[in-house]
Formats: sequence, C-alpha cells, structure tokens
Amino acid sequence: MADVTFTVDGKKLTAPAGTLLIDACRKAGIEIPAFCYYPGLSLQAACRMCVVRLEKVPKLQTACTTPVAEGMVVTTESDEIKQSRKAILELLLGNHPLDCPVCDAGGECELQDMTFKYGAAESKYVEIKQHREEQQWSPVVFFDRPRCILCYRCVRVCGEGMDVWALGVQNRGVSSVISPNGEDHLDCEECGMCIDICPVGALTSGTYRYKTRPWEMNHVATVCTHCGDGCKTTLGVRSVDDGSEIIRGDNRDKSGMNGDFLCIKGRYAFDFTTREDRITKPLVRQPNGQLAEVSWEQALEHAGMKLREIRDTRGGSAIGVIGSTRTTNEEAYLLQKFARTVLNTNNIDHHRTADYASFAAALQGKAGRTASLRDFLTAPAILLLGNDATEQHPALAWNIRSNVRQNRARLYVANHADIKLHRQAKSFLQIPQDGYAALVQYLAGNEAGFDGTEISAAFREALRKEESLVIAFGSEFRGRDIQSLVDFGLGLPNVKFAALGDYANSRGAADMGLMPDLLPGYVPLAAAKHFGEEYPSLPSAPGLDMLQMFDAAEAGNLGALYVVGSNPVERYGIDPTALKNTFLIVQDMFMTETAAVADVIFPAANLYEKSGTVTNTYGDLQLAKKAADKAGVRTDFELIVRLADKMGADPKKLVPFGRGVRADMGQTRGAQSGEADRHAVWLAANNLEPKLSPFDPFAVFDEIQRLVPSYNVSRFELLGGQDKQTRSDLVQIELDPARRDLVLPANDTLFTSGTLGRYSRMLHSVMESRTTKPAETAAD
Amino acid sequence: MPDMPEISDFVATSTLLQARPEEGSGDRTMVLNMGPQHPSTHGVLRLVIEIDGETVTRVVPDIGYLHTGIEKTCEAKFYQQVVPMTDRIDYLSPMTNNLCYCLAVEKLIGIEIPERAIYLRVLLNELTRLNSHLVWLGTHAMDIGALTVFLYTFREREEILRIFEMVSGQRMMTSYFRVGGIALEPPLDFFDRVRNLLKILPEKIDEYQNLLTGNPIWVGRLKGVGHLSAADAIALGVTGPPLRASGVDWDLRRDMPYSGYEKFQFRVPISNDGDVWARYVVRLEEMRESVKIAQQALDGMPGGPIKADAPKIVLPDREKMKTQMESLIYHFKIVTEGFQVPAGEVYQAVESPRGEMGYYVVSDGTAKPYRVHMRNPSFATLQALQTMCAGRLIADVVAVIGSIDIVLGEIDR
Amino acid sequence: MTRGWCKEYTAASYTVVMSIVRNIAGITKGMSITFREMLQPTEVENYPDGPGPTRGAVLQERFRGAHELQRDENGLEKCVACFLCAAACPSNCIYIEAAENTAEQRISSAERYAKVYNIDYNRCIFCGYCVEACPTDAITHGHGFELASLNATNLVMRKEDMLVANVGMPGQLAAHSDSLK
Repeated sequence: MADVTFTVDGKKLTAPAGTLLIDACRKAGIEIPAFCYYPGLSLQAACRMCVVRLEKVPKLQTACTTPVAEGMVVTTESDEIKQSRKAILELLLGNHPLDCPVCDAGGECELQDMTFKYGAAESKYVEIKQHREEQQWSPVVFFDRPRCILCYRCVRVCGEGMDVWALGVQNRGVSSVISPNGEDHLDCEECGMCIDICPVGALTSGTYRYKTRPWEMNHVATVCTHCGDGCKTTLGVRSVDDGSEIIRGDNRDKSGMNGDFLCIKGRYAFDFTTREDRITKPLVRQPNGQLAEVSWEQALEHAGMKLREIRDTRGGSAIGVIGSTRTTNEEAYLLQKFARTVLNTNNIDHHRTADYASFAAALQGKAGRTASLRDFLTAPAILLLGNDATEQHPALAWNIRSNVRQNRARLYVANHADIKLHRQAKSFLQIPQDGYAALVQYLAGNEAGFDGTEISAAFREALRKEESLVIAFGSEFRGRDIQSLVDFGLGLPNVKFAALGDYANSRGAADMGLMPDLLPGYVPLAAAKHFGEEYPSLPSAPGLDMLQMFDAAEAGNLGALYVVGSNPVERYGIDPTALKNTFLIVQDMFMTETAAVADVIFPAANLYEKSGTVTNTYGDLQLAKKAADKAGVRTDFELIVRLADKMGADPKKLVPFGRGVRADMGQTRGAQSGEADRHAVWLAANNLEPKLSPFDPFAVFDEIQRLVPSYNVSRFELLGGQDKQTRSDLVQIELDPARRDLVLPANDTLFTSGTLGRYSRMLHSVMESRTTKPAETAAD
Repeated sequence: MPDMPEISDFVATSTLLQARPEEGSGDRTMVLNMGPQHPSTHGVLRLVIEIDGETVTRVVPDIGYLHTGIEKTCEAKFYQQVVPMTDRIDYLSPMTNNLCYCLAVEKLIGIEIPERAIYLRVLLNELTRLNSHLVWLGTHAMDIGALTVFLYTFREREEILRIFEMVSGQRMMTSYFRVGGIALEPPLDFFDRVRNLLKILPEKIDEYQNLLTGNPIWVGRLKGVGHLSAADAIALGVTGPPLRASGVDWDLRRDMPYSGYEKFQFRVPISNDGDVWARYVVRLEEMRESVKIAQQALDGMPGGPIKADAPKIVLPDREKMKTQMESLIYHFKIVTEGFQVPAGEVYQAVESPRGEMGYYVVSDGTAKPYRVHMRNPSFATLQALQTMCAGRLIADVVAVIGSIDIVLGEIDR
Repeated sequence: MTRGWCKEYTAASYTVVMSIVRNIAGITKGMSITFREMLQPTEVENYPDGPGPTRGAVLQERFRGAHELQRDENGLEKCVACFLCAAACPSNCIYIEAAENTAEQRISSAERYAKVYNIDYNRCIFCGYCVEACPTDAITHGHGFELASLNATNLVMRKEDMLVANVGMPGQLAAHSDSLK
C-alpha cells in the first residue's frame, strides 16, 4: 500500500497506509503502552492504555485501533494522556488483590511494569477488595479471577491463534469474567498459550506456579526435544541438590521459528527429566541374571572389552548399532563413525519416521526447494498432503493458521481423515488412506486410478493457478511417491517442499548417516572417497538394517547390539528373547523394554542436558544448549568416546579435538560481568575456539561441516541462536530402487511423545483429566 | 604462533618496590621491611624502608594487602545495594562514605532531600568525624607510647558507636543512608542521647589535651617531625587535616558546601607549622568544631519526612506498602529491579575525617552503575610519606604514619 | 668578660630550669587526670561473664544480629517465599525454594511458602536489606551475634535454625519481632 506521512510528537513519520498507529509508533521507537493489543491477534481496544490525542478529534483515541492517515497529527505524551493512563491503572488496581509477594507473575508482570511507569504511587481507592476463590480449569491451567484485568488476550489467542475457542467472556460490562466455554473446565489442546500471554498472574501454570521467580532462574534458549518441528524454547532452570532442574519452558521473546508458540509438550512435558525412576548409575547384568549398579569404570571396561572381543573374534558384521532420533547431530554422526571405524560394521540404523533419503534424492541439485518452518508463516499458498499437523506438528499448524489469518494464505488440504486444519483450508479433499500416490498422479494430470470429482477438479485447478506454493507431505509419502510428488511440484512455477517426520532429530539422524547403506550426507558407501581420511577402514558392503539385525539376533548371528536412546523392542514389537544370545548395551534415561533385557545400561542425558546441533524435519539447523543437569548421567557423546577409548581406539581419531589450537584465551570485560563473552563468540564464529576436550561436540561439528556440504551454514548465525536451512541440493545420491522402506510413523498425538511422553507425569495427568472431567470450584 | 609472553610481563611490579641500595652508596644503606603485619602500620600497610644507619633515606609504601575489589563489585549491584559496600571502604567513617555515595547518585538523579534528612546526615557525619578522630588520637598516642589516652578516647568512641547502633542497627557497618534520604526514623531517645554526649565531649577533649600537650615526650616526638610544606602538600594531593596543618586554608564543608553545610557556623582550624604536632593540634581543634556543628544540627533539627518525595527511587512507607496496591508494586519493583539513574557521570566530594573523599559515579541509564570510583584521601596522603620521612629517624616514621591517619580499607578498596 | 659569661650561664640555666618546671607541670597535669579517672566507675561490658541472656553484652534494640523468621498470630509462618529478600540481598546469601501450600499441610497463610530458606552466614553482611524488603515482616534481625564457627559449612543456616518457636502466644512473639521497625 502507498505510504502516508503523519506527525507524532512533532516527529514526521512515514508508514504504509493501513498500518495501525500503535505499530507505526513502536516501530519509530515511540513507546505506547497497551495491555490488550497483541500483535497478530484481533483488535480489542479494551484496556484504553494506548490512548493518544489526535488533532481535530474531540476525545482521546486508542492508538491500537486507529490506522495512520495522511497528515495525521498525534500527541502521545501530555498531561491529559498521563492523567488518563493513571486513572485507568487506578481502576485496574481498584480490586486487584495485594498478591505481588505470592503471585507468579511478580517480576514479569505487565501490570506492575505499567504501574511503575505510568501509574500513581499511592492508591486513591480504599474500598474493600472483593475476593473470589481460585479455580482450576485443567491440570495445567489455574485461574485467579481478582487478578484478571480483562484484556481478553487469552480468549483471542485460544480462539484465533489456536482455533480451539475454549475460553470466552461471561456477562458484560463490570461483571465480565473470563471463563471456559466448557462450564468449569477447559476442553482444549492444553497448549498453555493463554497462561503465557496473560499480562498478569490471573492464569497460572500448573507446573510453574508458586515455585520460583524469573530472576532466580537461569534462562537457557534451546530446542524442544519432542516433535520434529524443532521449536525454540527458553527453559527456566534452577539448581537443585543433584544438578539443575527445568521449571518452565516458553518462548516469550519470539526468537525462534515458532514465535511465542509452544504446544503442551514443549511447555510442560519436560518433567521426565526429574523423574525419580531415572537411571543414574551404570548397571551391569551379573552372572545370576540380575542387573547391579557398578562404577562407571567397571561398566565401561566390561562393555568395551566385550565389544572388542566380539569384533576381533566374530568380525564387525556380528555387531549392530541402533541410533536415536533425539540425540544431537554430533552424537548421531559420532555414533555412526564409531560403528564404521571402531566396530568396523555398517550394521547401523535408527527408527525412521520419514523417508528423508528419497526426499534428498528427489531434490538433489535443485537449489532453494526446501521449505523452512518459517516459510509456512509467509507463503501465499500451502498444500498439506497427509499428516495431521495439529496433532503431530503443532508449530506447523500454528504457523499455517497464523498465515491464513494474517496474510489470507490459501491452504489446500488433502487427507484421508477430516483433520482439524481443514477449518482453515480454502479447499479440502478427502481421499482414501492409500490414495496419496494416485492423488499426485491426478494432480499431475494423470487421472487413471483416481476417482475424480468436481471438488477434486476444482482443487487441482486452484493449485495449478498458484504462483508460489509450499508443499508439506507426511510419512504417507515414501520412495517413488516422493519422487513423483517432487516431479509434479517442479512443474509448478515456484514450489518448496517439506517432508514431515516425527522426532526432534529424525532428520538429523538420517542426515548424519545412521543408515546401513548411506554415509553422512546420504553419500552411498560406494561413493565415499572423500571420507577416506577420517574413515580409514570403512567396510564397503552395506550393513544390516533394523529388522535384519533382529533377524540375525534371532538366528544367533548378532554377537552384540549397541542401542543408543532408542527402544526398538517396544517400537517394533520385538520378542525380547530374540536378544538372549546377543550382548546388549543400552544407553537410556529409563528402564525401557529394551533396557530391561540389556547386559549393560549406561544412564544417558537427554537433549535438554547437552549441547550440540539438531535439525528439524524441515532441515532447519539449530543450536541446542545445555540447560538442565542431573547428577550421575552422561551425554551420549561422552559415552561413545569413552567406550571407544575402552576398546583401544584413539579418541583423537574419533573426535578431532586439540587440532588448530591457536586461540588466545583472553576474556572480554563482558565475560567477567556476566554478559555474553563477545570474544568467545567471535572465536567460536570463526572456528577458532580451542577444542581441548574429546567431549566437545563442536570438534565433531567441524568434521560434519567438512564432510557434509549441506551442513556448511554460517556458524556465527547458528551460535547466535538463529535457525539455518541446510541445503539438500548439495546432496549427491543415487538410491537403489529396490531399497527397503523401513519408515514407521510414530503417529504421536498432542499428548504423547514416544518414550519421553510415557515418562511425563504432566502428559499423563492431562490425558486422565480428559476422560474424567474436573469439577472442583464452579466457574461463576 | 607468536612468542608467548613472559609471566613477568603481566605482573605489575613497581621498580620502586625492588628496593636495592642505590648506585654508589656502597654498603652504607640497608633495606628494612616494616609491615604488613606491624602494630603501628594501622592495618596491613607494608613499608619498604631504606636506611642509612638509623636515618631513613627512602620509604616506599606497598599497598594492596587489603584489596577487596569493591569498585568492581559495585558494577554488579543495584544503586541501592552499593550503600553497604561503601561502609567497608573507610571503615572508620562509614556514614561519610554512605553520604558521599548517596549525594553523588542523588546529584545524578536530581532529587531534593528533605530538611530533616539533611540535618540528620550532618549530625551523624560530625559524630562520625568525632568517632574517627577519637580512634586516630588513641592509636596515634599509643604508637608514640602514651597508652592511657587510648583507653579514654575509646570510652567516648564507644558511646558514639552505641548511638550508631541505636539508630542504624550496627556499630560500624551502618548502611544507614539511602539514595533519597535515610533508611529509618531515629528512635525516640536518640536525640537525648546525642545531646548528653555532646555535653560531655568538650571537657573530654580538654582532658586529652591536658594529658598530651604538656607532656615533654609527646612534644619531643611530635614537634618539628615529618614536615610537609604547603606547596608539597598541594602537589602531592594531600587533603584534610594534614593539608590544613601545612597552612592551606581549605575545607570542603565551607568552600564547596554539600548536604546543607552552608547553614552551619564553624571555624576551620589551620596551622602553619606543617609538622606532626600541627596535625595533632588541627585535629583536636576540629573535634571541638565538630561538636559545635553537631550541636547546631541537633538544635535546628526540623520535623518532616526523612525520605525524598520520589516514589520511583525511594521505597514506599511500610504501612502503605502493606495496604495499597500501588505502593506494593513500587516496593516490589524497586527491590527487585532497582531504580534507573539517568545516563551521565558525576563527581561528588565531601570532607571526610581524612580529607577529600570523592565518589565518581558513571551511569549508563540502567539500574546498576557502570562505574563507581572512589577518590580516597588516605591514598593521596600516603604519597607524602617519602617527603615527610626522608632524612628522619626510623622512629619518626611511626609518628608520621600516625599523624596522617590512614585507613587501609580505603587505600586498597 | 666574667660578667658576660655569668650572664649567659644564668640565662641558659634559667631556660633549663624553666623547661624542667614546665615539663613537671605538664606531667603533673596529665597524671592528675589519670588519678581522677581512677576514681571513676569502671566502664566495661563484662562479656562473656556478665548477667542476662546476652552474658553482659549491651545491644541496642535495632541491633542487626542473626535473622529470625517470624510466625503470625496463628502460628503459621509469615514468609510467603516472595524472593524479595533474595533480590534485595547485596551479597546473594539467601537461597529459597518455594512450594505451594496444600489443604492438608498449611505452612504459611498465603498460597505459597518457603520449602527451603537458607542464609549463608559466610556471605551475609548484616546490612538489613532483606528486612527492609520483606513485605510480610517475616524476616527480622534478632539479637543473636555469637555466630562464629570453626567450620564454614555450619554457617549455612536453614529455615529450621531461624524460625522462631511456635509458642502460640501472640504477646510473646511480638516481643521478638520488628526489631528494625
């Protein structure tokens, strides 16, 4: 739109016509306070804090609902406005309880901030405050009515942002009250957005409430460990006796691809880290068949000796390795390097939730064709094939909804189920569960095998008219189907693709070569020439995949199996007795079904307890930072290196640490006073930081960047907390058409998260509450 | 790879401290180490003294044994949290430090302090001066060998400390002043107790004078010892009683009044002799003047609030905090987030018992100071040691140290 | 000649004699003060052999000694774990873990209470800022001052060490509280 020029406080400003005055002012650095205005949500003009004086308008106007106009003259600061704001705050505080000392919001409360900045220092109103009992609306949402300032942010974010509409306003005028639409409880996705967005302490979180203060916590920006969206989350951490525990997660600073969104898992389901049945000591099966706690030295010695013995007597092909979809890229890379160079085997696999290899093969050489999670927030048109994003990719669904709402993006959904996102869809096509391949053919113009209707014809027509399109497809697409989908898409003018897989680092595990036939970067074993230096004794024959390994174990041909952060026994329904002749090493947090039959169990750290990089399912590379800590556990990275050491391998060959130590060790002034150590950041960004430890993930990241061209992204931006797209077009791969399809979708819902979800009490309590509704205090 | 620097490059070593006999002096001189644990070095001062027989040729103070990093610590504290740090700079005059820091920050913010707070600050500052001078007199006399005086001065000092404890809760680390006023209203019988003290102090000062002034040993040890000329004193940055004892008529309370000192009548005692005796006389006279100022403050004590009307700086009244939402929020915000001080820098000097004490505060507009630097009188005065002691006997060094009344806490910070 | 010598001698001896007289006078003056003081009553606090619970130490009412955590008139803890004391503390010596009161176990009168409340007396500087910050008058300075220990680990005081006894008699509690008010 055309620009208009207007004057604010004597300053000439220019903004596109239609911009809201409050946005234009804030962009120009002129502060306008507001409670109810929230960028991205509909306008409310309920709080009256943003009032300004417009020339030639008799009354004060709300800046949040006034679009800028040519020649407009605005005053944002005057005695009149000051007085008005002060009076508003006095009224808000009139019945506000004297709760600051106990209220969770204390210290990050917008009402406090506003009062301190714009309010009076003393109360005018001395009336007795009306008290209302606190209500519990769900296991995680509590509501304290007297604290509420009726800004309606929660109502709007629940309805517009989440498309849940679980909250509403009861009564009108002075007796307005926020209440759940389901009488006394919330019937919702339990995302906690209402709590997060509440400017005061009216809505409080079941996990965080009454525990601490914002300034008492360390805030660590890292990546959520649950689904494949890779939401950025800021974890509030406090120290406890045995390390440090996570108390809350949010993304208030909107620093990541997910904005301020987090789903229930990201916001609450970190409580598995502090479960008391977490394994914190190494366990070794004794001759009597019982597991017993032993020292780290003994456990590592035992496992290392045994692995070495099996490798030396039965050869590397008698050892299998199963990796994880939730370890960092560095750990995944290190694990396969350990398997291939120390164990001398290609028997390595992981739980695949999407066919990333075929996706990479289809897109090789095609630059700029992968969609980031960010693209779904801006793309003018989106095609969603398969996958229930609301359940399995909540951040994707959030971005799509925001895009549709704010930018009027056109959403096309084709699914076998009536998924919730169809409410945002411009066009929805229900197809048979096995009809995805035929649908692609149909869209490409080949009508054979697809039951075309008028709706589908219109769907196809509309799609073909799109000038710019982002296609996201679920794990329904595998192998050749992906190729044909990509071929169809490339026929359209400007298309980007995203493959939807399930776990935090499913994509990374595939990218890092946790596969029997592909090396890191999907390099086929035959084309591994440039791996020579780092992988001196790489076996050339492809190894066994996951199912073959268990077959081999059953046949007595698998001497040892090394399972890192995975639970194949449960996931693939393996009979545990199949492993009775196999020496089984498991690295995990809990006594899973797989761990229960292990010979050695190492207590491992989870993604919140380590540093490294992770790649979400869209190929966005992000930095995960160590937030929590638990005494007794060690990172998978350290365990792999120590195991290799015990097997007699040279850790320096495995982890190229100690090379190129040329950094000076000086500190900047900032480092001493607790700010960011700018010098260290500079060193790290220029790859000059000294990697003095064999447990430094960045030493491995150096190697990844050298060997996997698609990961060669700007390290400076990565360390600065930004997400960087990896470049699939740099992959060079020739896939065997007969390659076995091992994709097993996890099909998690909003309230499950594989193994982690099973150990999260909060997720359990939410699921229970959905079968038995709470009815404690009636909502009034 | 560049050459690694030698460790010695990083260690700050003063060439002066590498005390060795000068060229050509043969074996006539030797080096004597005095302190850092020596009864008459007042704290942990180490002096490296070069002597020729019993004559001192060179005195080099080696400081840093009491370094606590207070200046750096201040940068990590909210403005109000710095006040307890300042107590620990010059531990003999905590209130003067409190005052100087608060004045500096108040100047940056630009707030008006109520009259009653000003008068209370002056009253307590003069009591602090008396307290400090009493310690000086007692310990100085003890160094010279007159042990009795110490017992008497500490008896009176004890009463001052009790008054401090009564009003603030601590005898020495008072932390009683706040930016914008004073922490608490003094208790009811505070003024009576101060009045009683001021009544007896003049005759007590007479007593000390009678004990010492006529004593031939005292006279012999002090007169003509440790001479410092006015020009030298100014050149070396000496301030306070040693400066006035050298004949320079300069007192910040009168010449650059702060905290309402312009409202008080007092004389600035000076002497032209410039020796240890002159400093003794000047300080004794100062004590009498302090009593007069304190008396005036007591007599003119106005009523009213003790905290400025600046709700964003000063904690609200406790009763209001417990009953009013706004006050509770202000209390909460100031305690947890401090108050923001406009960006800028300020230097505020006050006349401490030892001379010009200055606080240089730089603000970057946040709630924590960007830099707090203290200009401490003892540090500058210590420089004059060489000038005063060169050519004198070792025994005179002890008298001179006593006469400049150093506090190592403020030298090392 | 003789006369002149004589005159000089007389003048010199006069000076010497006079200085002796003056010195004697000065010393006498000093000694008279000392003798007078000998007759004055002793001004010594006979700590630790004196009477009373403080064993002779004289403490003013506002004395900032070891902290006490107060209870309200119902015997509940006044502390609601608001963390203001910890925020106000210049030496970061206060450590709190908050928790929620339950219907079965009510510790404080508000929704939350301090599950853990530690003051590290290795760090505490007794500045009184915590007392000034406390919105519920829960933490106060008591008069305890015999805190020295040969073992630094003993100097971290827990809530149980600082909490006043639950005697259930309001009058008795009031005497302890508000020493800084």
